[in-house]
Amino acid sequence: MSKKTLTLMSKDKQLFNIEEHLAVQSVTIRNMVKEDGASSVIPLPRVDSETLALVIEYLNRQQAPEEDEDYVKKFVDERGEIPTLLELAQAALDLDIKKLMDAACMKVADLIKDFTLEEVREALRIENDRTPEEEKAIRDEFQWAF
Amino acid sequence: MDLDSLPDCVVQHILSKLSNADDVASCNCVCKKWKHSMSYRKSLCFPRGVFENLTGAQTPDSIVMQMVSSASQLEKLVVCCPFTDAGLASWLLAVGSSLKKLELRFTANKHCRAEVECLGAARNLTSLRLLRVVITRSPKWDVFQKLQKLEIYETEMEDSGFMEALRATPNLTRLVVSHCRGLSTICIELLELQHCKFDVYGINDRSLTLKAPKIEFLKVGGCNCIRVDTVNCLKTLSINTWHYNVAKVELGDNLMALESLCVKGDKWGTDLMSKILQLATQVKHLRVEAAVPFPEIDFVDFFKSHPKLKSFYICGGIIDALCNNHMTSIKNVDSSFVIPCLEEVVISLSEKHTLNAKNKSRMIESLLKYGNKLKNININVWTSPSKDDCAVDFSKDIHRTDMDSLPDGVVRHILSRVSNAKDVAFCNYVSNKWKHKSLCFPSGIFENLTGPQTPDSIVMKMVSSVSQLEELVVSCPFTDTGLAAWLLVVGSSLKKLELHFTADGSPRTGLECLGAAKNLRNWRNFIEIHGARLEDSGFTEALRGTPNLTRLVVTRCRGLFTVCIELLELGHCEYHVENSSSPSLTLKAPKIQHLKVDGCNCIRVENASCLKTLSIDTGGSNVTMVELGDNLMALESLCFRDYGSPSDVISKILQLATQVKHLQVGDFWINHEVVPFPEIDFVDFFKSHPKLESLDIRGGIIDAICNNHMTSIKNVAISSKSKLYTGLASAKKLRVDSSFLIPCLEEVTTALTEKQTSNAKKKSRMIESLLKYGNKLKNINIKISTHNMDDDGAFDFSKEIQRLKSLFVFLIVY
Repeated sequence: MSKKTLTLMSKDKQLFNIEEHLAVQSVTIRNMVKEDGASSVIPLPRVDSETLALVIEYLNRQQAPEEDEDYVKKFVDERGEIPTLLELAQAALDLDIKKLMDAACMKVADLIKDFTLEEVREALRIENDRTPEEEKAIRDEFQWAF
Repeated sequence: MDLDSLPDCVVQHILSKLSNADDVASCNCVCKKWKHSMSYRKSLCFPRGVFENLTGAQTPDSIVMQMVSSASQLEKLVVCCPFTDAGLASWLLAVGSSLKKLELRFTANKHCRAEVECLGAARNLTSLRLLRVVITRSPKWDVFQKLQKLEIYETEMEDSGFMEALRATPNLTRLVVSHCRGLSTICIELLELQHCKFDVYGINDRSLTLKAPKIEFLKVGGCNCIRVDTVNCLKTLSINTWHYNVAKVELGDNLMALESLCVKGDKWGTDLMSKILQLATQVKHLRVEAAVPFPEIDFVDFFKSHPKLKSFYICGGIIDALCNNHMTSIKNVDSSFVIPCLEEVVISLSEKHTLNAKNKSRMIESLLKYGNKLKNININVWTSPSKDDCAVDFSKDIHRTDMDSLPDGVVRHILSRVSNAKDVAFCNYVSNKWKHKSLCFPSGIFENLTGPQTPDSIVMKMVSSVSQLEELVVSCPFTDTGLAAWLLVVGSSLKKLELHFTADGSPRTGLECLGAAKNLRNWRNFIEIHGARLEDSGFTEALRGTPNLTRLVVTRCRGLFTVCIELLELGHCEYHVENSSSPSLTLKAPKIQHLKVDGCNCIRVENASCLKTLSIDTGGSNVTMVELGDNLMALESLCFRDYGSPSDVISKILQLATQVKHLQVGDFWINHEVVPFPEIDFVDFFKSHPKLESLDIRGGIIDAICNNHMTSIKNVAISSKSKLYTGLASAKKLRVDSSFLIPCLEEVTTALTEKQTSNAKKKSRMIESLLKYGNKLKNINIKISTHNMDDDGAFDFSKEIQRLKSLFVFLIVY
């Protein structure tokens, strides 16, 4: 019996093929397959092609269950840059792949632990929404943590 | 990617992965939205060192309160930092109702203790873990209906307090009491309990009565009396009581469910162990370690009555019990006898148990013969450090047994250089090599000697039958006159002589007659003396008789105080003395290359210009002086294992040994308070030791390097390697101009005790620097010694390190 293949389409309209039994690790895809057989192309409007390639690589892994945890950890470790990790986390969220989501978020959390406040804001592009007075107040409040 | 559009739930997810209070706190400051996310936080951990730098009016209690009260949904709280009972009570009032898991690790000291009396507010707890608290009075806990897991470690308790605590936790399924003291008569009545570990110590006798009909796993340590009422569900039982008398073990009659049994102890009442063994007929995994005599066991009956036995570990008295009667037992065995399930046997022998080698190897032979599923036999022989011929002899015997009847895979010990005198005598084993050159008398060889023959006379007979004996090893008892007589006969050809004397109250040998072996002195150019009793004058005299020594080994010897070794040719010297007060060593040996000194307080080496390897192990005593001259340029490997001596001695040697490649230095005494070390400038240190390939540091020196490390590297630019931060365009991270490198460093090993993990951030920064500057660094090894906790006390630190490991992988990739 030939294995069924699905096609995923990234934000920038690139197409990726993946075998169905691997793709259904994503709960989102599993639900789509259940509903309508997913005969046509599955669009992923928030995932760019680079990230989707990574996700496909992850889904295609051939790991024994007991080594899987280590593999996932290594997989995100090797892509240790924050923007990539965030993309990956978002894709994993959209596709509902819990392990990948957890691992990517864990890695980001680990990285930002050592950053200073400004570095965190810069790395995650977060606007400082406090006035200087408010900023001082909050810093005083948590002064022991710096 | 447009990061601003990052969905909230991704941010939430990332933030939920942070649980250490300091990380959480600094994230609160990032923006308002992040602070708001605090109220959804499910877990929070306050590591031990988190409030180290606290100043001002804030106390740890008040900060924990502030953090905890803003997290209204908190389910898991771990507090390892100092706290007070009043503080604890107030936090729990704030979040008690949502809390499911609570862990309190108290750092006890003389002035404060935590009595954890007010946990009542956390009424929905499912898991409670307490470390180093005090439960002496009856705690006001109300009833924790949902609590399933209770773990108490290193806690001081009293019977009434503990029993009251158990009454408040009626639905426990898992109870761990580990390394606790103060309990004496305990009755545990818990209907739902399945898993129980109970390990206590103290001065008084301790007894445990367990009424838990559903108990499946039970591990008891340190109890003198053990009663378990219902055991018909019990699958795993382990009783481990070394050093304590065990007077009573009552387990009921029904041990049919028991699959795994482990009993260990050295002071058990007679027959207690064997009674348990008799009851546990269905056992699959059996481990018996008994340093007590064991009633004899009928080999055949034993395996017939334990038909399911799969793995079998025995140590001590039970081995003799099985072996002694074994021959009579198998004599009448019917042909259908097999040991049906046995797959693995481990036999652990101490030195004195090797005596009856024949009996034992017969027993092993039988195991092999009847155990048709046996895959693996492991025989551990524990010997003293010097080369031990009992062990060699024994394994030799085993080896021969195997040769005839065994599949190849089972053969373990293949010893090429065995020349057992017994074999010679019986002509069982003929090899040309030993026949002419070497002869060995193992320690147990004359055990069953009867009649007029003495060991001396037999050795004499054997020795004189070999014409050109070059190597003689005698480990059996002998006398000085005997020795003198043999040496007269074979002295001229002898090149190598080894005498192991078993001191047992009989007259000591004086070895005065070695002179007879004339050629020995001429031919042999090295001496090894192990475990002997020497005196200064005798030893010095002996050395004068051997001017051409190139190798001198003195290990575990007593009675030497002030020794001066003057040997012109000496290249290799090991010197290890025991138990003498402040021994000192002066070495005048211009050609010395390898020097190993253990247990000396004063060490002087006059000319160390050839010295390549130096190893000093202070062995518990304080080294007050080490003089090595000024020239240590040839030194490639330096090992200084210290146990608390003045640190300037070490730092002086460190400064001299600039060309060293392998460095192992520090305080190896893990239970010891860390001895402060003069601060070391990180950059200077690596600049002045440019050839360093492997580095192993322990104890106070770690702090010495870490403390100043940030200031030290401040002036050195960070190399552009820190692509780590590509996510940040932070310019300050990418300074150029970097000439500082650690050019040769390949391996770093360090070990931290629990006490030292508190400064985790500092240490991990230091390791990070090693990674940054050490461009050949391949391997970092960090051992963390912790207390007996299941999930280790070094919690926060190992987490830090975990992160660094991945960092390291990352650096290699780029």
